[in-house]
Amino acid sequence: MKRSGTEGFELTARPWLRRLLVSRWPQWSLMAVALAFFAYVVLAGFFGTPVGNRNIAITLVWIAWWAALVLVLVPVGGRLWCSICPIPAPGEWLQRGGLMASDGRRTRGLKRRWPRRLRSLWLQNAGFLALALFSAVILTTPRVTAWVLLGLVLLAVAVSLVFERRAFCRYLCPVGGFIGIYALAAPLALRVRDPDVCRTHPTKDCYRGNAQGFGCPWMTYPGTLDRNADCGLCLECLRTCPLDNVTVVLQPLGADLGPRRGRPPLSIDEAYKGFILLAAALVYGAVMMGPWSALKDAAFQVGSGPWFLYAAGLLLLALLLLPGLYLLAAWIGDRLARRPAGGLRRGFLLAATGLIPLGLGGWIAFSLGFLFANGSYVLSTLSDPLGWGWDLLGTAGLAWRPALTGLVPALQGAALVAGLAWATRLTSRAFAETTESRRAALRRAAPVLLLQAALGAALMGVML
Amino acid sequence: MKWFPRLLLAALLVGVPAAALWSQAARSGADAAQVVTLHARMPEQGGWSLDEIRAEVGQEMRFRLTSDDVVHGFAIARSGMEPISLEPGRWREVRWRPQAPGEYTFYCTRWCGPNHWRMTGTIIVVDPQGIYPTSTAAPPPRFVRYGVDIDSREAIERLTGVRPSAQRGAVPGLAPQGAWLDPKDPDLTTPIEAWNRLRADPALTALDDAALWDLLAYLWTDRLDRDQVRRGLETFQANCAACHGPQGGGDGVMAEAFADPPVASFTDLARMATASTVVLEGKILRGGMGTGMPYWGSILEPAQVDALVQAIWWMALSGEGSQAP
Amino acid sequence: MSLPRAASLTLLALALAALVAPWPFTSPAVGERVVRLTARQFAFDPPQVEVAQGERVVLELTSADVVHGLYLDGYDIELKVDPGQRARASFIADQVGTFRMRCSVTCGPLHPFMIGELKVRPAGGGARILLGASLATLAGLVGLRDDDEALRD
Repeated sequence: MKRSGTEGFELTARPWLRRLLVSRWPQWSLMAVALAFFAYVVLAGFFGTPVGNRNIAITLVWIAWWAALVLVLVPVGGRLWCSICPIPAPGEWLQRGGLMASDGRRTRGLKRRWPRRLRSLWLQNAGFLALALFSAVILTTPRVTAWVLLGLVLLAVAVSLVFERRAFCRYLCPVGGFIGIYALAAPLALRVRDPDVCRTHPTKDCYRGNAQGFGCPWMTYPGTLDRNADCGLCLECLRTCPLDNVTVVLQPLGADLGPRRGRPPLSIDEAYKGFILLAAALVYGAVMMGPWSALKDAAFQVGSGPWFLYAAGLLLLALLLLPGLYLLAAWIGDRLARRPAGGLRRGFLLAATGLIPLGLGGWIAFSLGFLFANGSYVLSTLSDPLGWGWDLLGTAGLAWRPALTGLVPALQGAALVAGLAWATRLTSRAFAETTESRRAALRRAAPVLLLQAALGAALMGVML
Repeated sequence: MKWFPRLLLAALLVGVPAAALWSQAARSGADAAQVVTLHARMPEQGGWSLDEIRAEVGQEMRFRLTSDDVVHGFAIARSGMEPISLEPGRWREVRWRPQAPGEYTFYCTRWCGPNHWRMTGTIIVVDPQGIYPTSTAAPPPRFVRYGVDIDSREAIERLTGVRPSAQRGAVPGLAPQGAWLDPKDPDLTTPIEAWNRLRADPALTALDDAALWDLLAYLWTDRLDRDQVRRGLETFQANCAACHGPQGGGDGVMAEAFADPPVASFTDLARMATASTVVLEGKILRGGMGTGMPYWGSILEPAQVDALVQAIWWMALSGEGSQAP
Repeated sequence: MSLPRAASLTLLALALAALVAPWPFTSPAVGERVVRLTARQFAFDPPQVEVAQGERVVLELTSADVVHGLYLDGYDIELKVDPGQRARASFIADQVGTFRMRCSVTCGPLHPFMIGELKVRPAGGGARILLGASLATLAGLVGLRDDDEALRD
């Protein structure tokens, strides 16, 4: 059983590492660099060449950053990217009244509380889907990418001025939801050493803020934090905690993905995020790596008849078909196990646990294919970021050449196989831990495992 | 320490781009040449970013060229300039010093879709001092001088499918007695007229119609200059084959876009029998009215047109298709 | 290492091998196969081509609209072609599997996604995927016993 508190290897036990994390400088500097690159990318999108693979707005964002995010940052660091993400930076600096303010008792703006009804992933789900419908255009057109990025920053600033803390990151950012649920699979985690210390601590500085830092920008109370999804690794609580009870740990693999006190690890909005992301991985794989040109044209010709069909298909798959299949599998399992405790709703959510490793495996396979095929564009555009004929580093003339094309399918296959095996294990375990008898658990899990295997096979068929 | 974050951020946001801009501006250098920045785009997307460029004779021009979508090419007609390739998002530079006033056509040299040949523009070279000699105006093409209507030619249906072969026609000792070419100008001769003259030739009465066509093919291709044919076939493959087909059969990859009227087939004797060198030359120079045939008069040199016409006759009559002699 | 863990890892390796490893039971074919491909924005026609292992494959590429190229994954072969021209490359299909053919000359917005597939038989396609997915699932189930043992310890 998963409990709150630390498990695994404590990174902050090293004094030098702890100092590095508590200091605002390293994190701030990384964020400043990220913001600068963000600005370069937006400028390049507006003023650079319209040829996507010669413009950093496409190559740095959709090849380099995306690959780094999906292949390294999320699987290892969870929300590590969120801790230096430049999108909320301008808004947060306005909110805090300084580029590197540290006094958490003084904040600006209207400081409204985020509406209770919107405290879920549903807005993020909608935002991600909305972008996904236009992804073929966004991914290939520098100007559109620039507009999207600029739009996100402006939205983040506006939200920061009206609402308290990082409401944008927590409830609106379309990428945030993606990172959040897959962060559940990551070993890097922020936790408290002893939850009892927090329970009896009267001032709750980590949530309210003090002279050393700000109250949790992610509106999460660290004292009961037991999963990665809602912690942005901004490290404010590490700075504010007067009792030295906050730590950064490397936790055992999958520690966030077991049932929590008998309850499924995902809520319904998170499960839907999983469906949407799995559907997106399947569709993107088919559109961008498959040989079906009619599908590509449909995805690109926004506003045309085929595009409406494509959009409808994507929405149908993400919102009805996949959840429907899972519901059906859970229902059959429910019947086979003769109606175990928790009923169909819990069975459905337990089944959804496997979406995390399955989907993450799919996205890793997708990103591997894209990175190794098109990585050389990144090198050439670093020297000529705007496609203006520059040669800053001497690599501008580098020709496009896919790398390691013999090895990539094996890496993709490994990601998909590992994702499916892990999904199988998690799902079986989740059912075993929440069902009365072993036999019933197996019966309850069997249809779900079959469905997972089929979806894993579908991912393999699309990506390999 | 309060100022340091601001400084760092300013350096990153302003300093780095400014430094990059400055370093690259310094690299490209400046000189007295007139700089012309030209973006190539598919004709459907607007073609060249400039349709008309004004220049002064004797004044060097520096063209900075790029493509915004697919691979294009750039050349200035009748300038002696080698065509250069424009890859999307990459920049090329080429310098040119106009030596005589007049209008020059710049054009795309790599196929970029069915409307590729509409991708042209004009450089108007003026001579404000009036010291450079004006190039003498080219004489009007022969089809104008002779008053040949190059748009109304009949097809001779019975010749459909007839494929004469110069090889078969090369029979030793077999030769016409009388003249078979047009007396006014041999280049006005059409194959059908020549054939009719041969048919009437008493020395050739023993030959059947098909053998007579083979003889004509032999006589006709024997008059061609082999080197010109070779050069013409190269020009044809680079500029014409995409529509007219690699063998001249009118079945190029772009032919579908020009179904009405269909792209001319040079291996269809029914049509070619009524053409003459003057007609073919006129078609190339003037372009096809109301068809997809572009206007080459401003692009090709007279010798290139001559080579192309000879290459077309070679494909039509040699029996060896586009195989060079 | 515990027995279930070892078994689970073995199954994982087998699953991967089923998906991507060269097929061991083959009798290479001989002969020549001419594959004619037409490239146009943003597809190869035909989009999927199948050849037998051991065949000498002659790829013949033409383009119907703009300048295109073809890069064949795994075989590191590249062709470039202007519309109306023809480019050729030949190779022996010694590696089994599915290999992507990618356009190698920027040809418009969807250029990075202009992809075709060359299947070198016996690729096993569906059978491989079915076997891979089943073995991966099995690996996950066997791995469970590992947790049980850990709990008992």
